[in-house]
Amino acid sequence: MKIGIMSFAHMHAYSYADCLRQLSNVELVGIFDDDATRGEEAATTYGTTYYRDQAEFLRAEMDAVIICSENNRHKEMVLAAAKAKKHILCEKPIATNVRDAEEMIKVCEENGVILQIAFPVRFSRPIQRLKEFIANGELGEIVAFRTTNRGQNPGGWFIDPDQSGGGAVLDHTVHMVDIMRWYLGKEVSEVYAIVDSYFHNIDIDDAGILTLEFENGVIASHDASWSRFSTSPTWGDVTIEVVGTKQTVKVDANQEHLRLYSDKENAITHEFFGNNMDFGLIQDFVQCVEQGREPSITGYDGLKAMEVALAAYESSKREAPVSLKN
Amino acid sequence: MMIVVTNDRKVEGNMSIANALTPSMVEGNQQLYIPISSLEAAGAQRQDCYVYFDLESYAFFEKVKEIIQTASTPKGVFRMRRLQKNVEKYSVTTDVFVLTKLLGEAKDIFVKEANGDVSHLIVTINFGNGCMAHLDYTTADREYIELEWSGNGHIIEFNTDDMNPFYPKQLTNAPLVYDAEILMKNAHPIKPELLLQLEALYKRLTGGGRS
Repeated sequence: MKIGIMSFAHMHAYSYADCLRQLSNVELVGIFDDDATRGEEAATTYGTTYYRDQAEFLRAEMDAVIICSENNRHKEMVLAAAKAKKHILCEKPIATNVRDAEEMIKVCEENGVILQIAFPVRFSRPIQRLKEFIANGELGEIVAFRTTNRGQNPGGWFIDPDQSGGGAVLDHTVHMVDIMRWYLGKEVSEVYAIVDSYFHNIDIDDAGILTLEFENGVIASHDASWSRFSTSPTWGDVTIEVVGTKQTVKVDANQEHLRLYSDKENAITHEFFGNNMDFGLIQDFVQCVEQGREPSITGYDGLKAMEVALAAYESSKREAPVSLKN
Repeated sequence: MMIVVTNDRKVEGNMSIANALTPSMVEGNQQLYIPISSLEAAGAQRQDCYVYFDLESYAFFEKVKEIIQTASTPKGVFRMRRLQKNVEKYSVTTDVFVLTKLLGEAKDIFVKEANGDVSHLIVTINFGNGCMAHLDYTTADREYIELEWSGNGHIIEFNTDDMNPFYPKQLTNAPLVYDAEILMKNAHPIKPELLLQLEALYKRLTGGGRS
């Protein structure tokens, strides 16, 4: 299978490219990037062709593309790739507003191409095991969730509201909302949030807490931030606690690590030895294209997760809960 | 003489401990330290009587306060997770009261709860001065507290399971043990203003939705 990557603006592009190299049936056939220096460097690193022109890149023979651009350019690239009949894996969030996301989904459907959204947390083995426990009834009925996704300030275009569409709350809410929707099979019906900027003296949010209610009455609290220091032992966290009528279970997707003490600047680091969730995501996307099946994480999933994050901004601005129509 | 009334909670320290408040104590002239649940029995006008609150009687919370207060103006996200045998709004009120003393007046309080075989309560607080908090309570057959502070310059992570110095853990209640000195230091004289503040917070927590 031939796959290309559109933009290395998002750092996940490097991880996805590494994952593609591990798949024997996949060839990374080209990289398109507006930033010639970045694109050429990446093409050299991964031994592939650099394209400065998007149209020329999309005329090349390939089955699918992975889009890792700035958030505000997802729509433009998805539409172009779909019209070129390329299947698409798009970095999260799907877009920066609902109208764009809906158009992206529609155009992909019209062109008969797959649109999958990159929510790699679904491929964390502990997160998958917890889904199995829930499905087997081992937690009973779900009563509530408690989730976190906190990391370091990525800087660059992430802190430019025009390019990112939102800060830590958009960046770090969609993953865990996707997991809660996946576990529950229900949609969020109400969002109450406080969104602010505490940590970095930047013109975009770096902290937010969200209180959610799902359409079946399940409630949830979520902590999204860029509050972790560059000197922290790890980049951040991904945790979920599920309160059930039979038992409460908590999973920390990054817990499988060694504590490494050293005499260097970062005296303690966490050396992760769990499964590579990015590899799970890429492998799933490749299989999805091969088999021509519905993606495991659809554009609609991306839209619904993004809606909750956008509602959090609205709630904080209005200082009131925001209802979502489902 | 000083007496700490514990209602069967474990207290460590050198002082007289009484498991329950008795009429003779109320009528006597000892200095009394009582939990919020004994407030009515003690009588609001009892002289030399102090009410203490659960959260600010633990040594670990004293340390959390000390770290957060190293910033002249604390900014950050405070999160607390509690498992309790009963999720009772009056005890939640005292937690919120203690947090207002640390992080400032609560500008907005938003409450969500799910009640059934297992009850879960989420309290969202905007202190409006650069601090916000999420408090999660669940009914369970054991007690547990988890605290986190994501602040400007400091991150605190704590939970009572990990910081129990014993293994097997059931050999002790530590660190869920009141420290007598800390309890007395933080106890509040029973004054009408205090009771009004608690009542107002209780109403905000029980009124539903945002207040």
